[in-house]
Amino acid sequence: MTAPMGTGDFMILWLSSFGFILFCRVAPVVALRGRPLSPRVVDALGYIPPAAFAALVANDLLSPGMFSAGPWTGLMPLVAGGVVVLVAWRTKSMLWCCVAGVLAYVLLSLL
Amino acid sequence: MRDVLTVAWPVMLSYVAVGLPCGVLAAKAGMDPLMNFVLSLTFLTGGGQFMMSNLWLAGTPLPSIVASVAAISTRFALYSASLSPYLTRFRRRDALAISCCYTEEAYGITLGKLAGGGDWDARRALALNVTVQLTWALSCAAGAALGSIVDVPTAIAGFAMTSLFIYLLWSQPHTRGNACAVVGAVAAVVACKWSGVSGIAVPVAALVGVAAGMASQALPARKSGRSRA
Repeated sequence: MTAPMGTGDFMILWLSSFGFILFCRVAPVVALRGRPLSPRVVDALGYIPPAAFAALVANDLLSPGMFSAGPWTGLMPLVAGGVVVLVAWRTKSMLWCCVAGVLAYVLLSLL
Repeated sequence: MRDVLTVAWPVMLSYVAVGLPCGVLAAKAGMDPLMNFVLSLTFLTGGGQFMMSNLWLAGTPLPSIVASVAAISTRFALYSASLSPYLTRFRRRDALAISCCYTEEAYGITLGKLAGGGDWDARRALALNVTVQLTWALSCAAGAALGSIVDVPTAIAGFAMTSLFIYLLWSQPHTRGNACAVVGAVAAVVACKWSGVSGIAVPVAALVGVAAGMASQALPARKSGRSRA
């Protein structure tokens, strides 16, 4: 049994994480502000959103042990993700995507 | 404020759904509601907070937790880099304030609005950030306060967040370059996770995706160069 996190441990974890993420958030904005960017850099920056969101989705849906409890257990989140894509395509609504995703996940997990 | 809430409330609902189990898990690791509130209000990455609690409960040494959380937080440098060309239209202090407090979902919404050329100003972007940020922090604190009283299934709640990311991905322009970026990023996530370096999968995959997108631009030029030669 792991000991509960004490205030000292929490402060170290919080302050180090906060300082690092603050640097990550602010440094590019300060460094790139007011500088003319080359077309190549602008193109590269434009690929960040699709690449990052694809990485986040894949990180949520794929894992080495995804099929360890059976093929359907691994496939089910992918099918639910497919339902969300269909809803995004038809409705273009963030809300309906969330509702459909959670409903599909719950219903498919009952199969 | 109405137009901010119109885009914010689906995010707020999903944050409540995911923030509660995040707080419950953090309470199991020993964080009280106040710690959860402070952490959630300033750190602003759900994945990082889940990781902190999971690693602590697994008995991982504190320096390793700090390093792992830092590794997955580097993706925010990429987000800020992609936002920065659009933030130049705002005053410097507004641009800094927006970059300090966006969440991934608020980033996606604000980037889409600014790139779309709408009337999304700094005030709206900041209001969106603060609204969803407070929702997240209060949900995590509530989860920690409720502790073991409620049992929110983490997998189901987490899929609300996944659905949001799928929506934000789908809302990107459907170009060949973006498709290559997506394929590159997914392949990199698979490579990282299957080789045991899950902690850095997202930032590495984002960089690989950007490289794949750039490579897709270079490919036709090389082909035409060969045909001329």
